[in-house]
Formats: sequence, structure tokens, C-alpha cells
Amino acid sequence: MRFHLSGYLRSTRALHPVLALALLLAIVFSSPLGGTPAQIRQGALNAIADLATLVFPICAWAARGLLDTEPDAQRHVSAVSAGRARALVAGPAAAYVFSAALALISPVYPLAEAAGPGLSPQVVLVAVALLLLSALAATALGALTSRAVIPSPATSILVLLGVCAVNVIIGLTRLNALTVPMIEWMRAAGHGATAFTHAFPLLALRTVAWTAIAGALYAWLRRTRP
Amino acid sequence: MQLEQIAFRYRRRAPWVLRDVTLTVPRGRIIEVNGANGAGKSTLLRLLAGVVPPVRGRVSGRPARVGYAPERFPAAQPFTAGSYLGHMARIRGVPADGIATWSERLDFTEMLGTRLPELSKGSAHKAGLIQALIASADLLVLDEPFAGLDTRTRTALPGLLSELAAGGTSVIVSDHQGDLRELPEIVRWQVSGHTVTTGQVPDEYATVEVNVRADEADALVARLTADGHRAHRR
Repeated sequence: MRFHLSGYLRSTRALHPVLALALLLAIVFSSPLGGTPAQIRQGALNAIADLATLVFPICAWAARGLLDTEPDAQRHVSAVSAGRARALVAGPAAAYVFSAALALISPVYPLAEAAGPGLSPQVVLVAVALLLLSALAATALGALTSRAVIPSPATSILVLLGVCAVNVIIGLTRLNALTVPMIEWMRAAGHGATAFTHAFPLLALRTVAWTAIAGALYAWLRRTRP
Repeated sequence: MQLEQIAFRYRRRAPWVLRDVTLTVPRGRIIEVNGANGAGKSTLLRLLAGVVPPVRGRVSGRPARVGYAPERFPAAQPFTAGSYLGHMARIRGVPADGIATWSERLDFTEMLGTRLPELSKGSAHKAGLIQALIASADLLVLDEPFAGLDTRTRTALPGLLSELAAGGTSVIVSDHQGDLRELPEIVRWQVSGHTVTTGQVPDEYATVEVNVRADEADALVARLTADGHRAHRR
């Protein structure tokens, strides 16, 4: 895992998602969360739920970039050196560490804004957990679109962005149980802190289930894609 | 270590690269893998090293410590050679002392501070060999280890491999250029027709090196081939 992170951070690839996130945050928070304390708390909650959706493609892109930093032949060497199972887990684990760091940077501004008006610690914890879960599912998507699985860069970026778009569109339909529940977590946040914290366990379970299925698919596809 | 009725292909519905491969890897021997380009030598080596599992069949008895050097060392990595080899030693859980030892033996010590992308092809290839050798492996799988090496290392490598084999390591080497032909008791595997046949190099064959002007080399190879010898240009 340290080898993956070290290689990625030494390359310029790591800057791409960081710059994309900086641009996103600059646009989203170009104006301060204003209004009464209750409005600021609600605004911060909405912003974090939106961010959990908005950072998803950036985290998936970062995960794909980290995994693709390792040349194909090095993947083969690592599989022998570390053992196939360990090597299979190490890449996505490193990708998750980086994606989670990106996701955790994103809510700093709304949380700081809402600290004065008194956003409850429980809501802060749930919001942070939501961002970490979003990064987790995004990492699985990044792994599924990495070069080991989809050799063509053009196809893989198309699949990555396509899955993000389709996930949001299906999330608006009755088939939303098949998705990472982005629409639902944004709606729950819109209904207030209580509705958000009550809805969280089920949303978390669905996100973990989606990640588990995507992770299993990745492991299965990698069986003959060294 | 044994391969039983192995079959492998890279995708469903893709053509089989290898089929019905049954082999025993003898301990403490050097095995030379021959075959035409695209015959499946590298795939066989990946199966042996454990890079990929077979689609059908069974691999049993693979030693816990395996060293593997690919045909082309992945030099496009943002590390110095020393830092890269340090990472590889740590991943394997072996002492970093082996890096200095093998670097010295392969005449690579001065390159340890050089960034991998800046290494020449031959030096990068040595980095690939060293990461495999530091494993103190019981099974060493080297894909075209002689390609791009300088004459000194090329001459020394068969002796190093013999030494490892004498210590009990099974050394499997794909080699187009016959650098191992002069070693005694070498085991030969031939990859062709999607399968592998085994056999010793017949004792009545020998390798002769001839230095010839570059513009006459192809003509000499053609003449020797016409005379019934197996000749190729390096």
C-alpha cells in the first residue's frame, strides 16, 4: 500500500483530482452560507450531502489514477512479490486512503461555517461517515475502470463517467435500490438533521452493499487480468 | 511443483494460449523455455510464477518464495533504483542487504541512485533481475533475462544461475539467444502448438560464437542455415 501511495504521490497524476476538487469547492462555496443559525446549520448539512455526491466522480477518478500509475509489468511483479491476494487488495486500499483524504478535505468550509451556529457532533460524525462511504464506493468504481480491467483509457473514462451519470439518473427512478443512494442522502439532508441521521444506517448499508458487489466483480475480473 | 492439465486464455471466448500442459518443475535445476514469438512462453512463465492462475487444471507445490522478472522491466516509475528495490525488499519482507550484494554481482551499484526512467535498457533490466534475486527464492522465473545486458553481465549470469540451482533453487528461464546452452544438465521445454514438450538439450549439440562484420552477418546466418545448422543473429 505504501508503495502504491508513494508512486502516486511522486507522480503528477495525484495533482489532477486535487485541482478538480479545489475548483469544485471554489465554485460551490463562492458565496458564504448566510442567514439565521438554523439556516446556516441546514445549509452546511445540504452542502455536505451534495459534496458526498460531487466528490464521488473525483474520488473514482483519483482511485483509477492511482491504480493506473503502476505499470502493467510492475503489477505482475507485485503479484508474485506480495502474493496475488495481497497485491489485489493493496492497490484499492491505497486508492481508498487517497480518496478518503480528498473526501475529508471537502467539508472543511461548511463545517467551519456551521461550528458557530452549533451543528451537533452527531450530525458532524454522520456527515463525515457519509463522505467516507462515498469515497469507498467511488474507489470500487475507480478500481473497476482501472487499466487492469479496461485497458483502453478512452473506454475506461467513458465507463467511469457513464456509471456516475447513470447512477444519478436511476436514483431518480423506482430502480434506485440498485444505486449508490446519492439522491436519497441529498433528499434526507434536505429534510433536516433528524431525518438525515435516521436515514443514515440504511443509506450506509446500501452503499457498503454496492461497494461489496463492485469489489467482488473487480476481484473476479482480475482473475484472468493480471 | 507440478502443473496438471493446465489451460489458459486471457478472456472468455479468446483463443487458448496454452492447453493440456502437464509439467513437473525439477528442484535445483535450470530449465530453459524455448519457442517462437507468440507461442506462449511468457504466459507459461506467468502461470509458473503465480502471476495468473490457470483457467483449467491445477498448479500444486509452488514454493512460498518465488522470484519473477518480466521480459521488459517497468522503468516508468517515479523512484530511484535503490528506493524501488528497497520497496520490493520491504514488500517481500526480506532484508535490504541483498540489494547491495546482488547490485555488486550484477555491476549495478553505481546505478542505485539513478531514477528508474533514466536507466538505460540494460540497466533497467538489471533492476528487474535484482528485485527477483533478492527474494532468495526457491523458484526463480526469468523472462528473457539476457536481453539488453552488457557482455560482462551476460557472461556472468549463467554462472550465477548455476550457483542458485546448485543451492536448490529451480530456475526457469525463457531464452531466445541460447546463452544457457553450454550449461551442463540443463532441462529444456519447448512451447509450441499451445502446449509444452520437455526434453534435455541433446549432448551432441554445441553453441559456437562467431564475430563477423555486421554487413555480412545475415549472409552468414543464411549460409549456416542452408547447411542445416540452427543459426540466428543476436
